[in-house]
Amino acid sequence: MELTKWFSKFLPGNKRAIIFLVDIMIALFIVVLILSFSVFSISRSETSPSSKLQAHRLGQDIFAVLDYTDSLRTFDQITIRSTIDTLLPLGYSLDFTIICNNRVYDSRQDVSSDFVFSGERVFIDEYFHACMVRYWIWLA
Amino acid sequence: MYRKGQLFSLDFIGSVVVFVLILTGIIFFWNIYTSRFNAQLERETLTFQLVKISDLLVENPGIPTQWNETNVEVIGLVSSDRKLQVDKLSSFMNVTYDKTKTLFNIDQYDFYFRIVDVNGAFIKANGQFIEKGAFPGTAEESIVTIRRIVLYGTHKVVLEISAWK
Repeated sequence: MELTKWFSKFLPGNKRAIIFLVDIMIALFIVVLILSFSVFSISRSETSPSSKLQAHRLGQDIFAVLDYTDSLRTFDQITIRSTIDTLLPLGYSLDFTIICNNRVYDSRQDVSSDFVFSGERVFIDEYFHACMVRYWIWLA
Repeated sequence: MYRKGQLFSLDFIGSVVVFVLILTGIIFFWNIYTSRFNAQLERETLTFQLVKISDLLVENPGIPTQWNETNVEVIGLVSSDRKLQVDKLSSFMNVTYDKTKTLFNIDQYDFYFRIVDVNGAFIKANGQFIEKGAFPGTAEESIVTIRRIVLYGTHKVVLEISAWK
């Protein structure tokens, strides 16, 4: 009691309430900071890098096989599209553009903005022109 | 004097209870997210490892180039990029399960390997189905499967490799 009285000389009026409020604000700030960091870390970890890696390999595989079976070389758009549809696993979508000398074929319709992986492959067409196919893969 | 002390004590107890409740909640959620994070990290690591293994299998002829089950140092199943070679598939089937795990550097995991057509039907090489290892049970929670598209002759086939702990 004596001590409180002694302290009250230095803390008159509502200063105690102010200190309490500052205490709460600092505590809340720290809690919010920790929670924000946790949520940020979790949201980052949910966009798995391995799914990007698998999409990358999927695109490489599909267009390598199309190249080795001469479907790309002949610019046969129907065969290319049907082969892609056959090889593409469920849940994935793929669009592509082939640029070949003065010929261009663009299959792009609705490339989703959610997690898109894109890649390229260079090949030689039947007239020995250097051509390029660019593709976009996303999770449907 | 006594009453003021009591008020202080209630104040203190109340704040301690709130603090302990919040701390317990934070520790509880921290533990949950830590275990989830560790499980995901392990899964990611295994996925990366399987992707690298599948790269070796479908892009390289192996070491030595004409390897067999006795002299194999690095397993590769193709004659050239993404073109499977029947002899190598046969040799691969003859390498023991444990030796394969060691060569793949996945000693702590079990794995299952198979080659199927695009509809999921098994492919045969020299009269036997191309599969290796035990098919994972449904109880295995964290199975990672990598699928690669390759050419088997003129056929487009799917090489699948799965691993789990």
